[in-house]
Amino acid sequence: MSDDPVLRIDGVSKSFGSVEVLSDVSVSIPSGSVVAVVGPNGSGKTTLLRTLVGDLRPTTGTVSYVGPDTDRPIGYLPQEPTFRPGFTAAETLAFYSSLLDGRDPEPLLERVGLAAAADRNVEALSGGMRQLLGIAQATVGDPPLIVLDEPASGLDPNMSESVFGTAAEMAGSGTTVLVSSHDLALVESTADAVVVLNRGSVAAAGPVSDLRDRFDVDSLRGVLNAVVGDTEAVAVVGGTR
Amino acid sequence: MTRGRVFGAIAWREVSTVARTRSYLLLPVGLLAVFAGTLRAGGGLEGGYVPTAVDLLLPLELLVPLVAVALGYRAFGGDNDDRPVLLTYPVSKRSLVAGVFVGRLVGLAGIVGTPLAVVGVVVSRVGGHESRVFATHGGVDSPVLFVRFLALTICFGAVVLAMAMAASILVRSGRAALAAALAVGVAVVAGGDLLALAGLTADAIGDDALGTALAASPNAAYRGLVLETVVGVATDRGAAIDTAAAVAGLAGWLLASLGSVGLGVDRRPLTGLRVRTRELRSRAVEALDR
Repeated sequence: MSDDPVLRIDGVSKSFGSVEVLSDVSVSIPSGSVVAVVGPNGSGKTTLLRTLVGDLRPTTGTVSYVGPDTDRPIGYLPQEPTFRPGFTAAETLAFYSSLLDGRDPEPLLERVGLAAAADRNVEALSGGMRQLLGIAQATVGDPPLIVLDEPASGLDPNMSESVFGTAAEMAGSGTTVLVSSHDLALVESTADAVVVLNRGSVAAAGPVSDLRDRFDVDSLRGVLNAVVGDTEAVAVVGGTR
Repeated sequence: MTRGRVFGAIAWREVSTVARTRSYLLLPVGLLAVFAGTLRAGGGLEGGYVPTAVDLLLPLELLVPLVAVALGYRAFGGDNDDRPVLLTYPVSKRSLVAGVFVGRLVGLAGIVGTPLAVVGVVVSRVGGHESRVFATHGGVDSPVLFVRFLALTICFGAVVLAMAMAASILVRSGRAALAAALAVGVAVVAGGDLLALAGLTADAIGDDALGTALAASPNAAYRGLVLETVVGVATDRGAAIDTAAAVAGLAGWLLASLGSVGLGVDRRPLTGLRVRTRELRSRAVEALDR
């Protein structure tokens, strides 16, 4: 992990109509690290990630990519990835690769364990396999920053562990991985730093060990409970309308 | 990575999508069946290329918009919509819109053009002696006129395809996109003619301005251009429409629709405007406070 940031988020707010989903979020993402965004449902994780990749325009504030100059600075796995029906997994990756350097997609499929399903149509892939294909797509062109929105969603525990392991490997080779997840145990064992979102604001941020010390708890779950409080209801920001 | 390669990759994906969608592949078969039935009833085949074009004109005014809507309404919807991901590649809005439109247009040209080409081949076999002549002057039936008819039909399809894409991209859900694209289809098939008729009966459109007014309706412009440049050439009976106005009308609809697709494709066409309006409002409030 380096002290140089790859992404700067300064005072970002995002509103949908009268509902403010993100409020004055400011964070720096250090390069070569795994940074996890955690928080309860409705805390603004997906909105934050969509804003960072340019899918949503912030209402106020700025997002600045300050990493190396490249054709594809940011790779992105959306929360619900879509793939063109009628195309195989290999053809899908070949299309995205053709938008850049046209490299063979086979190594990308091998990296996520999908090589055996290369010739299978995307509509015949299981939910977990689609997720893995989405992760492979996010790595096309070796972007310096990879944003993964809930990459472990729909994966079995072993595969989830493998995905987070891959993220850690990529960070080891200099790629920055920004990941949102509800799997706090995996985040705790993999992430170099954590951003805790609550009701659209950054409630806490820093290395996991620092956060544990600051809140005097022994796990990331403890940190989250200390920040959010024990609740069984989904946080609804901006009132009922 | 050049823009041309990105455009080519996107267009090729659209062509492949059309070619791999079984329901699309049934469309040329259905069209050929309708053409066969129509020509059998109208007897245009034996008459030659121009009588065949006249027989097929009305069915095509209805069927081409249907094919265009079928191809256009899902161009940016459902599983075909990977814009959030494409945003992270060096894909410009222009390359994306142009690639998707041209790719789908190639599909439309195949779906509509193939059965029409089959009809053309049949006419060359069963048509009269005059139909085998490549005309160099007016008043003679010729394959050239049928090729012109085919080209005009595909141009008409291109305009309606762009309109269907524009209507569907401005709404979010799949059902709403289908409804919007179908509304475009109905408006194209009947709307222009009904408006012109209403204008005539209300004396809002004079007889001398009718040709120009009809040019504003895509299907009336298409019909007028076919009558003017295909039927009129062979029969020496043109003046169905103001040709320049009809071409301008079709080009205007095409460019306006593609412009709308370009506005809608970044998924937040009004966000920038809203932000600027909010900034202006807060500046005005500050100025008033001072």
